[in-house]
Amino acid sequence: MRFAATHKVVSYLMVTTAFVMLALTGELPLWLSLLTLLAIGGSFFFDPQRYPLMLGRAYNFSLYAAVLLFSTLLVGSSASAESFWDGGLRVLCLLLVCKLWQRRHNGDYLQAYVVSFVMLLAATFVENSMVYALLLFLYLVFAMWTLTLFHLRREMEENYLLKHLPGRHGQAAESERVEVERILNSRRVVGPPFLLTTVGAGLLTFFLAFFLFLLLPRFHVSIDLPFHRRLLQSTGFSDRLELGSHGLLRDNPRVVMRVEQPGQPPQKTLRLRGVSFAHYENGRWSQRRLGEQILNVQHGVVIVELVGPEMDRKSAKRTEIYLEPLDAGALFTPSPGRTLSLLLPESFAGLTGSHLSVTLDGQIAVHGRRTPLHYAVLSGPTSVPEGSADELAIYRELSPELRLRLRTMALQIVADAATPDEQAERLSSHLQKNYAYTTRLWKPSGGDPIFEFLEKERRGHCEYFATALALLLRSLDIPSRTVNGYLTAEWNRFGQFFVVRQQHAHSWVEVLLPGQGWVVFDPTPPQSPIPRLPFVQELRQLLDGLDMGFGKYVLEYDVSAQQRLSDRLSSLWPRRDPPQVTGSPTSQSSWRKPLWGLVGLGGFGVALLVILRRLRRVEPSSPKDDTEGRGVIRHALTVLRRRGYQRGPGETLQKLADRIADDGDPSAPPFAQLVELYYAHRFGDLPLDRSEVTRLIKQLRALPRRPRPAEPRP
Amino acid sequence: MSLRLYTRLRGVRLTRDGWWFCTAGICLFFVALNSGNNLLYLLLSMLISLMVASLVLAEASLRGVVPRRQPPSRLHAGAPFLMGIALRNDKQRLPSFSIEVEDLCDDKVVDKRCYFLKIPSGRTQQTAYRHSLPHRGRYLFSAFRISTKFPFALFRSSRYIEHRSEILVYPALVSLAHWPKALTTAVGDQSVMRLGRRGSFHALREYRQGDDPREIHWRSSARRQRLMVREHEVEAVQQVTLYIDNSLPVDKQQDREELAKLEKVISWGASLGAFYLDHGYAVRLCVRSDDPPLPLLWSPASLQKLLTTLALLPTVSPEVPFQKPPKLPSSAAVPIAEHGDSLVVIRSGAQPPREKHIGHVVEAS
Repeated sequence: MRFAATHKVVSYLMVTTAFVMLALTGELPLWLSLLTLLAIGGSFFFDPQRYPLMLGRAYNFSLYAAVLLFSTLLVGSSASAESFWDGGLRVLCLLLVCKLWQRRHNGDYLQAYVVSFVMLLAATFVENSMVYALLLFLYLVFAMWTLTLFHLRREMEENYLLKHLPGRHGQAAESERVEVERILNSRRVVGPPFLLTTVGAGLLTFFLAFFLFLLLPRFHVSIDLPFHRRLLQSTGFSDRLELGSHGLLRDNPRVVMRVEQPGQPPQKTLRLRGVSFAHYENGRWSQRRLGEQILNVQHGVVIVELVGPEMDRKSAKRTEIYLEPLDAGALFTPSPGRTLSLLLPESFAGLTGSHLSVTLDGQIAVHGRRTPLHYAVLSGPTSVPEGSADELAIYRELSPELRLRLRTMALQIVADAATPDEQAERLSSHLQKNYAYTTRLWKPSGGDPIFEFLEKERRGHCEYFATALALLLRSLDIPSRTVNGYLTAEWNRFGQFFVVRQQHAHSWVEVLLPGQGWVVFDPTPPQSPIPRLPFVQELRQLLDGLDMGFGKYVLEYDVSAQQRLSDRLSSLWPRRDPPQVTGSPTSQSSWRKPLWGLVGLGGFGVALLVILRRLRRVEPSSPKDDTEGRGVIRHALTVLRRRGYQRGPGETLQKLADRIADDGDPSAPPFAQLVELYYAHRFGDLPLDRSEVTRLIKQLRALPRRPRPAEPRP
Repeated sequence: MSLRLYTRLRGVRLTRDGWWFCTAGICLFFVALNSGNNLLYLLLSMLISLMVASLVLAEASLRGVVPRRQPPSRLHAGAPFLMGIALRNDKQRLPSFSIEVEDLCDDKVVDKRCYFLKIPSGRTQQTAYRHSLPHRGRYLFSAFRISTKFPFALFRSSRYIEHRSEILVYPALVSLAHWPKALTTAVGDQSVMRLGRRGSFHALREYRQGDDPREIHWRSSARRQRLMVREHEVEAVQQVTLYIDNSLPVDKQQDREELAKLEKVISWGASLGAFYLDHGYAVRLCVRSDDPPLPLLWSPASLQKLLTTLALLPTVSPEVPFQKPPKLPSSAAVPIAEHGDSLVVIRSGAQPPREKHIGHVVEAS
């Protein structure tokens, strides 16, 4: 393998990996991702060295000016953090492409590496999947290859300047310039063993990184950065819901949340309640936030409701929900059931501007959240609401026209059913049997779309079905409301959890039945699952399981997890004297957690300081490196260079001084004195006379410029 | 921390790239701390582990490499020379990459570096650095500093390897082209070319490196089972006595200018001595010293003796007398002619010795 070619290939692998990581976050538009990828690929086969125009200063200046202008337009005019973020990502793509198309020397590669690292950083801000970890490992391996070869190349170019040959026939030693190109094209410098060894080192480095990851102290300072993952778009979880305006999420497989129910046998389906709508008018549902109150988050536990019989608390089920950042504020809870309490991570309290609210009907919303959230719900069986008749009246509201038209239809359907639960059952089964489910939406003609659904089209999606059932029930004076949430049957056997995707969004009805409370009725006909190849399904489940594990054990790793790990490790050593517990466990852990973090951070800071001081210290007992004297000579040589005296290869300072003296240049005496001072300091153990050196340097600099030799006339 | 690790860490310094890397890491730490984003912590851990890997790989690269010095046979003050450096990789399998070797002369790092890109395992590579030593005398090359920035140029890891060599630097030889003719040609006009090889047989002795192979006496060599060479007597030679005044008053022995003048004197003396020996003169060297003088020098091969003496010539006070000139060898079959002898006194401000044969006085100014 030729050195230069290997360096180029691994450099491209590294920057492309970083770009792919960024592209996979979905933060870049598809056209930009493809365009950048094409540009990166194209630049691989382009050699700027062949085009002298691209090596000139004018080209460089014009290119940088264009990039600067474009960047200013993209970023400078950003009015919000989101637009600044988007503009910044576009600028990164532009910079990377520019650098790759302008690989004139080794330094350009370095700049491309820096851009790739910033891309990686940007991806880190917004990505949270297992694919990220895999790509990060690849990036690490490629980075190790790349940085090593980059370093070797730079060392070659900086050190392989001269080759000294012993003089022949009694002559002085000769020096000749080394052709670095020859070494760059050599096949003997790096080969497969080198690359394989580096992969092994990369693997060990990755394990070490993971070990350090566990050890690094975790804190969460309450200053939130404006850069977050783009929020997942959801439909039907806002304050309003308009029939027929949307609903085409059936084909979107993006995971919205993952749900664990520890200690419970897996159910066939899982229904997660998001928002409920109470008021209907002209095809629009809207919420009525009855009794909404802001909840305080203390120590990560939010008590939503803790009243009820002792039996309810004993039979409460715990559900762990890992929610992706959604553009809606709803927190999802298992349905049917009554939420007793909500456990939030401690970091939630630190999120700037985030707060929780809960309504009387148990609808929980979080405001200001832009990050993934893991919370646990403790829910019990549904109980009979204790609201007043006035409070329940909103679930019976119906305009007179609707009531008149729908009541006739409802009465025909329910026929002789006497009780509300029988009537609800008949209405629900009627809709399921006589209406068809479709995601091909028809356009409402202008009237109330529910009549078009019931009387004309007789097909629609779940929102039509739920709306129809709720309104038919209300026409019979039975309190009902539509609920939007998710209904999933996708059980991941690898990770033992339910996967909820955007395509699982669903709408159903909750009916208030005497003595039973709010009961769920789902009038939507069952849909056939989307057919998939078995191995694709398996692979998908496996990736989901890995994603879940990554999120659970890596992304969720916090100071509490650190403490648990520490406790588990310390329990491996038997204690002679068990510690006396003086306070309650809660009070003990409340002071131990911050102390643990403080000790960790303090230890890390001290270790960092000690290491940095140690590394900065020049070894005192080792022989000194004469940097001061070198600096003086370097300065003098720079001044002489301006006068046209370049130190030749292998030329000693004394020889240079003699050469200048032979020319009769006025700089000869001060330079000769400087050389004498330098030699006396360097080899005679005499201190460098700073004032004398300064005087001589000033004398050198004060000399008038040398007149250029007159050009011979033709 | 073990002592070994501690002493090794002392040879580790952050490079400029390393400082940038650390700065990026610290910024990342604060951002991770602030945001609580665990992936940022993972990235930070990756940066730290890359630094650790860098230290470990550098250590692996430096381990098992053995440097050796190959000095030239003769060097003069101020004259550039090539110091050969050989580096051997004693590791069983791993090659060493990107190693810089610096020499330590009198416990100071020589400002020339030898760079080795790759040394395969079990192999030796050689290179040289060009250098010049400004003054005559004995130089002690005590150790090597081998260092590497491999693999990522974040640190410069270095290690000292003791390897002692003493190198004698002869006085600088200057061109005599601009000197008074009397010194170089007037004396030469009276000379009779030395007939060293063609003179009468004097004795047999063992062969020494540098002897003319044509002088090997094969029959004696065969009989004694070792090489023997013939020695001839010099038939007639012009003799020059070099008086080199190596004294300085005590109060001026630290004066840089005076010392420089004295060095110039010694350099001229060495140059004249080399010239005369090269042109067939017998040279007597007299310096201010309590030690006995050198025997009469009369062949180019004895130039080394002259130069060695001058290289190690100490500065003394003017009270120290000149050495007595060596007597002529009494056993010489043909005595060296005395009638045309010249005396050259090279002094630096001090009074020349009162001798009747003073021919020329060269003063350093």
